[in-house]
Amino acid sequence: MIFHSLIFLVFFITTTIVYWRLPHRAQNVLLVAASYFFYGYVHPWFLTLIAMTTIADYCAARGMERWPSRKRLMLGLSLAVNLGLLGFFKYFGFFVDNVHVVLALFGLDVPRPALAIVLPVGISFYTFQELSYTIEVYRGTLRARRDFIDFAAFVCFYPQLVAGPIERASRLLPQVESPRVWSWPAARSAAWLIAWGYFKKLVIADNVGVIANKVFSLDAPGFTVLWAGVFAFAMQIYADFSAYSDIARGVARWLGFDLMVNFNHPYMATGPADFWRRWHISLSTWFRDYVYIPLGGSRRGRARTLGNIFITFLVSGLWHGASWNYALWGAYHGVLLIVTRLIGGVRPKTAGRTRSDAWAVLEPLQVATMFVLACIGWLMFRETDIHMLLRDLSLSPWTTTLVDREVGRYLFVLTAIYAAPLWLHDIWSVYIAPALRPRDDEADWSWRAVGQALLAGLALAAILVFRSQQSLDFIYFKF
Amino acid sequence: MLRRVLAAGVLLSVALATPLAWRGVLALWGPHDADAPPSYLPALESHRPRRPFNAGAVDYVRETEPGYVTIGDSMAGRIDPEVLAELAGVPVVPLPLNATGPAYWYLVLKNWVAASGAHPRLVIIFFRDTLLTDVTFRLDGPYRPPLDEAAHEREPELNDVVAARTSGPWHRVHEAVDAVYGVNRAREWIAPRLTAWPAHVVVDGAHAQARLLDRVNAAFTLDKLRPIAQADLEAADTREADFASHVQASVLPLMLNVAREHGLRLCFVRVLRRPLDGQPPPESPELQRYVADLRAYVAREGADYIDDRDDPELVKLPYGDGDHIAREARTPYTQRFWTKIQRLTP
Repeated sequence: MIFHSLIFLVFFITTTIVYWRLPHRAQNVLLVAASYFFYGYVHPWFLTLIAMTTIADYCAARGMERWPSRKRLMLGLSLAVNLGLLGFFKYFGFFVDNVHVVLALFGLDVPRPALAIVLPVGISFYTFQELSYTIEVYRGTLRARRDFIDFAAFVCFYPQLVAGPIERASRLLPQVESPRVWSWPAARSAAWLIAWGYFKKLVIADNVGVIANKVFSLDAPGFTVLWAGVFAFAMQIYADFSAYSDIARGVARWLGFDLMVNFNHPYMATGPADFWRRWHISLSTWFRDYVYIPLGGSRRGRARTLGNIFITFLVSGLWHGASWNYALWGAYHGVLLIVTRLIGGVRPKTAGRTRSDAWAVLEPLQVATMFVLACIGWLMFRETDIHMLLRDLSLSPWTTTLVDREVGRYLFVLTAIYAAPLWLHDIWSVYIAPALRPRDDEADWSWRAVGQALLAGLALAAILVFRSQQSLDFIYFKF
Repeated sequence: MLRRVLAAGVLLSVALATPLAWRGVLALWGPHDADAPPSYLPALESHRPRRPFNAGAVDYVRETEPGYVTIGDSMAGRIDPEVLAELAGVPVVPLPLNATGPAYWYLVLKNWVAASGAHPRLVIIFFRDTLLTDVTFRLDGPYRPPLDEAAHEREPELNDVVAARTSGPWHRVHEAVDAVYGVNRAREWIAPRLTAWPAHVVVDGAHAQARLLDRVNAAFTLDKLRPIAQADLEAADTREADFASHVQASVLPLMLNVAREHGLRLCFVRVLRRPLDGQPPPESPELQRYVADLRAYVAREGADYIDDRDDPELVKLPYGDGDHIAREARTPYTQRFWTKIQRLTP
């Protein structure tokens, strides 16, 4: 089931009404049932996978507590089940293709197995979420849960099941286990989050996505058209993915849960490190805690630190998809971070900063530079054909034709029109809103609430008329 | 509690009432109904100029009085019309067009063949796998101009089918919402402005702007696309194949209705896709079920069905690019095809 469908709205309203009439324990049972219905709506067989990993991780964690001497074995079992299934469904075809290429280099023409493996939606997300649980139990920072229903609800919690945010067990499980309380202010802010998410998905992402798809279907785009397409994709992926996170957070809030912020205005970042503190935060912190730090983090000297950064980003790239362009994208961001560290002079952190120092003058330039660097990365991310990617990267702005320049500029402007609300929202949130006096969100009735309702109405008006008729899937469904 | 529920109700009403502003905007600045541009199908993307209906095609079919008519995309190119005409001893009218989809095939059947009043022995429609029930296949973008030539000013049946397919079983709800807020009129009014406005920013002068919009459309024509997008490999994903859930949101029932109303006999031909290692390509269980359901449905509705996968000899024919058979294979294919349709129309 997808968020931007009427069937989801009916499902959500019905389950939410029933949910709040039930006691806590029954709420969790309903959450599991509703989440399984949501996840298995199109492909019921996907449920066997999630059920299998849920049982395996529940047993593995319980085993760790029961037999402390076999903790490592239990963790190994959990890793084997989770990463084994992820590896088979996501990377088997990639592995076979590459083995075939290598064998062909040695003159061996081995026939490829004709297997059409369907990637279960969300497997990368819930696998990582479950792994956070077994790893934390292994480390002793979390106790194994006895209540299977609570644990199953944590694994399959439908608002964030298929595209995150990837919640940590230490954050979400206590919320599952505690009684939830209905809150009108939370419901109101959730409604706004949901409306804003739908606007971003249906008006911005789907419309600029059509432009990006057109450009990336061209056989030989010129320089300007190509980068207009990359710009469109940059806006599409941000609007699309952050929309999913916002809708997920809004829906969860209606159910009494508080999910983590997954995007913190990433295109306002002033450098690569800042970008990764703002983009897909739940994944980047997961990799920091479960890959980078176990590799040694920054504790083992400068060279090792840089190597660890590179490995972490390479693996992060491959997490996104079984294709070399994703590995290249990850490596590119790893190199950007390494270069930033080596240069060292650029202020690495902007979150929570004061803007009164001399550096603030340079900030717009830093933001613009980082956006261009991110766009180069998005080209690698979007272009799955390596030959086309090399061609694209070799294009020169000095060899464009007049038609290419005109068409490219047209596409830039069209993308900018659709994406303008996103930019305005980011600029408002980062540069203006923090300076304003905080408002009282608890009031039942306030001009702020009316303003939000009006804005939600405007979002609805825009969705009705400007929504793209070519409804595209959320991009991160395929990861 | 009551106060909070009331406050929530008021806020919800504000949010739901705001889009009604579209009606006010249209009343003040929008077109009158009579000014609205004709559209047989709401544009699924940006506004583009429309080509005129090709009335010459109707005359051509009428005057030829064909024994057989072929419809489809490049898959129908495996028939050599001259060879077939020679074998059958009657004229053959080939109406296939490369890079077209089921919406185009339906429009050709209804607006050209049926409208001509001709009564061929058989109208043969070539398709691949699940495409007969995927009306969105090749519907917009570079595929729109051929549709223009086969469509009348309004095509409400096709519109309904597209709406049902794109909005799912809830399309009536979508339509009701659209009617309340005046969405379609607002969209038709605003779409050309939204398309034109960036041109105003990029170049000066009405002539230059019109030329730029032409250039934008020309930049994405079929010949500019990558081979994989162009070629006929890009057929629908058969893993999602489910005949029962898609047939009513497809042009297949419309085609059968047109045939019934005009006394035409239809024959649907599912072509053999590119063989792998001398064997027909593997089929998912979903596709096998789909084909069985399609076959039963077509038979029930009184049309004929030929599946090239049933003919083991066709695997031996050479293929060109994608799912196209090689040029030299057209004659042997047509000869084998003739033996099959002879049994249908002795």
